[in-house]
Amino acid sequence: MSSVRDIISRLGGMPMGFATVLKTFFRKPVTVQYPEQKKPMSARFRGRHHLKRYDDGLEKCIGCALCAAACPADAIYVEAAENTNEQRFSPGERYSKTYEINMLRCIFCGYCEDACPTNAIVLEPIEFPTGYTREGMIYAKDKLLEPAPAGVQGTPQVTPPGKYERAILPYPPIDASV
Amino acid sequence: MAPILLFFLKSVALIIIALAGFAYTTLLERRFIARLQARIGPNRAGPQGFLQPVADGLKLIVKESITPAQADKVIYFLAPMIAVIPALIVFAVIPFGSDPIFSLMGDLNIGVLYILAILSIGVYGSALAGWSSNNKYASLGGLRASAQMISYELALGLSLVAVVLMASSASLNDIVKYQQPGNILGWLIFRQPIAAIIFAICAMAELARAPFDLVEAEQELTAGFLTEYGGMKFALFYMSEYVKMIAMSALFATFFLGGWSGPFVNEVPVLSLVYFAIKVVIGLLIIVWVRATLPRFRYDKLMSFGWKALLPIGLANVMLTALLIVLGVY
Amino acid sequence: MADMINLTIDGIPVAVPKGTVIVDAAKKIDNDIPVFCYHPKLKPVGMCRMCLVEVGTPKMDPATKQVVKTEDGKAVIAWMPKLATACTTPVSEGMAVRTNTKQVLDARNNVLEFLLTSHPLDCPICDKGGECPLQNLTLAHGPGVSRFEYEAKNHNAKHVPLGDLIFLDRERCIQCSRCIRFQDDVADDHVLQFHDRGRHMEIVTFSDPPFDSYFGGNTTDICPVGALTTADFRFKARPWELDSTPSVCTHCAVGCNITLNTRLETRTGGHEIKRVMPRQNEHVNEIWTCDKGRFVHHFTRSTDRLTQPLVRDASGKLAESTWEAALQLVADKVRGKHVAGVIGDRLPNEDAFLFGQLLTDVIKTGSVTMSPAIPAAYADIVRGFGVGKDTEFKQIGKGDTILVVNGDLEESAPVWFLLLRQAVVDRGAKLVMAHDHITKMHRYATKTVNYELGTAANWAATETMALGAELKAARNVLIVFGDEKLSADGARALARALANIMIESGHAGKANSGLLPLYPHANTQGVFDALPEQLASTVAVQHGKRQADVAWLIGVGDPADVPQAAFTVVQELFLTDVAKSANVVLPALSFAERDGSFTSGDRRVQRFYRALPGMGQAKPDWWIIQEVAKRLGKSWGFHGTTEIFAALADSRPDYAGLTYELLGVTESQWPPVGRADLYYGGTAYDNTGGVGARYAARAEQSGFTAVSEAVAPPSADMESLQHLPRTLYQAGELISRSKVLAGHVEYRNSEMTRTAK
Repeated sequence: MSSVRDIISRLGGMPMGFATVLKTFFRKPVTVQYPEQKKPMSARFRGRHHLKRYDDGLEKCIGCALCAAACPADAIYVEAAENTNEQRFSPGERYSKTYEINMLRCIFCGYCEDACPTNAIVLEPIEFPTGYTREGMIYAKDKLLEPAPAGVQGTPQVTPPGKYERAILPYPPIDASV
Repeated sequence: MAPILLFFLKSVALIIIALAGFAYTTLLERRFIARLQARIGPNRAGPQGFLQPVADGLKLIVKESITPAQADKVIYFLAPMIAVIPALIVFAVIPFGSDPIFSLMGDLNIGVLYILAILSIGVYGSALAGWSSNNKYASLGGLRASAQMISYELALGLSLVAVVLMASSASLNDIVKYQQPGNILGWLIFRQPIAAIIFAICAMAELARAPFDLVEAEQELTAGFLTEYGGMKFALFYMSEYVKMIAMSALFATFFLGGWSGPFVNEVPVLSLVYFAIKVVIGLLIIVWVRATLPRFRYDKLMSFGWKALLPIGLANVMLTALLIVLGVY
Repeated sequence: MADMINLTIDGIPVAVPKGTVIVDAAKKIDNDIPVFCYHPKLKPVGMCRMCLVEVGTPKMDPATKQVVKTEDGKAVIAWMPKLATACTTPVSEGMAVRTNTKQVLDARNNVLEFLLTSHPLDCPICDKGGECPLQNLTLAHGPGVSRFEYEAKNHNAKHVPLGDLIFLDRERCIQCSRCIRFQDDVADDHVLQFHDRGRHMEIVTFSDPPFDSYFGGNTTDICPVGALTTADFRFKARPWELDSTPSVCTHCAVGCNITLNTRLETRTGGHEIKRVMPRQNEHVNEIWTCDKGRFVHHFTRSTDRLTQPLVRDASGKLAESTWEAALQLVADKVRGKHVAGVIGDRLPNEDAFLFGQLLTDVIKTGSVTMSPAIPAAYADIVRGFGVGKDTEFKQIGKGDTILVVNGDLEESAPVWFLLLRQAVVDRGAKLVMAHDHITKMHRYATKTVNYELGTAANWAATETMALGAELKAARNVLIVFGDEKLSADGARALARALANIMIESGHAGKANSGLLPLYPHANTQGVFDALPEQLASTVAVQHGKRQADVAWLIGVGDPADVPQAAFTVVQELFLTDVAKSANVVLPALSFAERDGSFTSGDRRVQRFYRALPGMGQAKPDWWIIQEVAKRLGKSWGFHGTTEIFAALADSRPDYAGLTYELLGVTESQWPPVGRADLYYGGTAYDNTGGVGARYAARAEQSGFTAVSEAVAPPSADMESLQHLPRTLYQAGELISRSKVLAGHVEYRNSEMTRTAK
């Protein structure tokens, strides 16, 4: 066999190349048929953004816009407004009235997660933003905000005065009566 | 049947076959090369991607037709046609089956000369496209196309001289018949292996396909002479490339693989068409296989290979063949 | 300078005037001693202890009373055993200061740690976050970690309204008292005070209504933390997201330099003014602005802004039209007709100039006047005897006399009130008040003269000579006057009489002397100057009775100023009452959406810049005027206000030499504010748009001989009684669209609201 190999190598290995390519023909393709088949993603994979809620249904997002400030692609737009006890979206005084992410601009770097003081925004490996129009790729709060936990009212909520005075730490709020 | 009507019907049938063949050659190539690269290839449009050529065609038809402002408009429009028409009319002299009336447009006694002439015209399409686009990449692509065609045409012609010498005829039908002594060893690939190899290499170069695709080397030239073309004008170039691929494959089968010949051809004439088709498809697959295997030539290597290797070997082969004929070996 | 003191700070010698405190001296050589309670515009109190430094003085030999020196001739420094507050310690000769020793750095660290024990650190939702002195100084000098449990912190109310414009967050307050001191020392509205002690100390307002001041917004600028926020900007945007464009306030004659902070807004599909901040101009408004200037900006993005040309159709309704059709219609209607043009005094110089050119040069059968018309009766006198070119309000002080006649400084020109009050209270200028009612300025009067209601002109014409000797003795005389409750004739007589005083007391044409008119809007003087002279001064006064074929009104709010005409063209921002009755209404751009220049009451010409994209199809007024002129066969070919201003400067001798480049020149100013210095001078913006330039009064120019000339006041000025004293928040098209001042706007009936005295 060694003499055959010798001849082959004298031919510049070209037949070997052809053989290798042809051998590949009989291999199973490595392609993953994406929408039907899905590869399991790493738990730390940065997929699309979700705005989280506390267990009592209030939004974690306080509209501070630090995510927008951290965003290197300028993909996030936040407008804040003031909570009242009659119409409460988040603990503390401030909540995000408008929260939009342009998924076409987003580079999924996760800086917004790092910047978030309340861990409200999380890039999860669950789904990936796709769409047919540019407008459709601007995800507003209706798409980003996760639904309220089962059996809990969503936002806005009517809350007793004094319970949700502070936006950040500690949570759950300190019970002054204890 | 009036001969003129027959010619007309044969032409229409031929064009339809060539165009359908073009469309499905693209699919064949994409699927086959995908498998050679451990991929699946286009499988979304229709079952097994069967409608992919339709989708591609529709896309190219409805695409906006853009003409560069500084282009030479007339030539810019003419170039795709110059490219595609020769590719189609090459088929006129190729015998597809054993029946010369129904499966051959015209049995020219100078068929080989006709083919060489027509193939040379094809290069004008690329060269003019490159020049008229008024784009530096296109110009370079066009220049490369001209130089490459001229260089490899010589060796291509020499390889065919040997074939013509052997068959003592320049008619393709005669060449096929010459290879049909009843056994497979009659095929010229066995009796003229050097000519066959030179022809195969030169055919690949004439097609400007990998590894000879310097004309549209995308790493250097964006898309070469195609850079400024889009939509249907681009599709015409694309068509010319694939129709030529089929034509070259058919010519190789005709010259070296005994054409339509095969077992039981005389008993069942339809078999000749099937044999021919199989040979053409195998030729196409080999072309794709080569593309999947070999990297692109460097330009100076391309030139030195053409002029310093293929041309002398071709000449030597002609002389050797002539000598052997004179000596009566053949 | 005579009284210069030499000292060294960290070994670097510096010479400063006597009386300077160490913080300011250090700031002059860019040594930033951190401060919270100290503010260069306020009196020092030394409350926050942030500015602690090591201070030493040259050692004196008790026997010889000489400075002890070392062998190489340097003075031996006797360092004080403890740290001293740099903000309350005045410099002294030979003093040495050390700001970078371990002792000092530790002190800063410890002070910050103390401050942070009761600070909530809710920077992410704090409006000051990003431009917060406490944030910046903590980063620069403070501890990296907190040693305190969150629960151990002071938890106080976070939403305490101090009035409806300013909100207090008690947790964030570090008790620096800057706001209290601003209200007491600068605004003289004693409405804030500390309450309780120790950890319970808080800012309270004790006035009724709460925080009753025109200057409350300034306290949020100088607040070193996010404790004070305005209702307007609360949670609206983060400071780093804002674009800032230099502009000029349009609401009164002061011409405060402001910065428009804009940001992208999803709903309006463009930019929107998020807040108005003062822009430092030490010649004009220093670093202050009043609440009207700060909170009236909402009209620029009001939903009822006109966005398309309107033309009255066959059915008598105003229907939307195109520019081409509307302009052609206007051109056809005015050609060869008698056109009475009226232009409002909020319009920039360029538009007024072009309007005058159109009516006199192109239409030729036109006449033009301004609205309101009364100032046009005396603006030429102001141009002659106004304050001198080099007047600086800061220089007015001891030996000078300020005479205020017939006008309420605080209501008509709030920032001039601040500046002139300081001239009187802090620097000892004499103040003479001549009024028919009591104003806030009367608190500081050295002399008060009263006259009958509405007889200011008569009083000035007859009795001012009694003041003659006093005024003659003064170093400088500044006369502030208004046209309240006066007819055009009365106002002219008053201005003329006051000019006569200036001439006779020998102060005409001097710096720091002259007339200072309380014009109603930002560009009254500028519009008058830009209009053709003969038309403005003569036609103006009889405006109401004017009749014409076509009336053309630009920014005219008062129906009384509308001439009678068969066809009316209106250029406006809104469909006002005047616009509703017009035949063609053309949408114009507001001051925030275009460039231009204003001439303030003290004749300082200042540029403002485009901050917002236009609304709909609205166009700048000068463009509309130029387009009509083009259709009448006159092609000016102006591309922008720069070229128009150049043409104006060419044809108005007073403006000769003024160019946009000159008006846009900035200079370094003291104290530094904003950016890196916001811990020191507050968050007001530094000046990037130019400080403007004042043109010389005619009395100052060579070849002008001031001659006093008697103008008899109207004997029975009955019309005057219909005019009420002007107040800052009186209802108008712009202020009534403010989202936060709604509760303050004064809607008036015809009765007198104030008692005459």
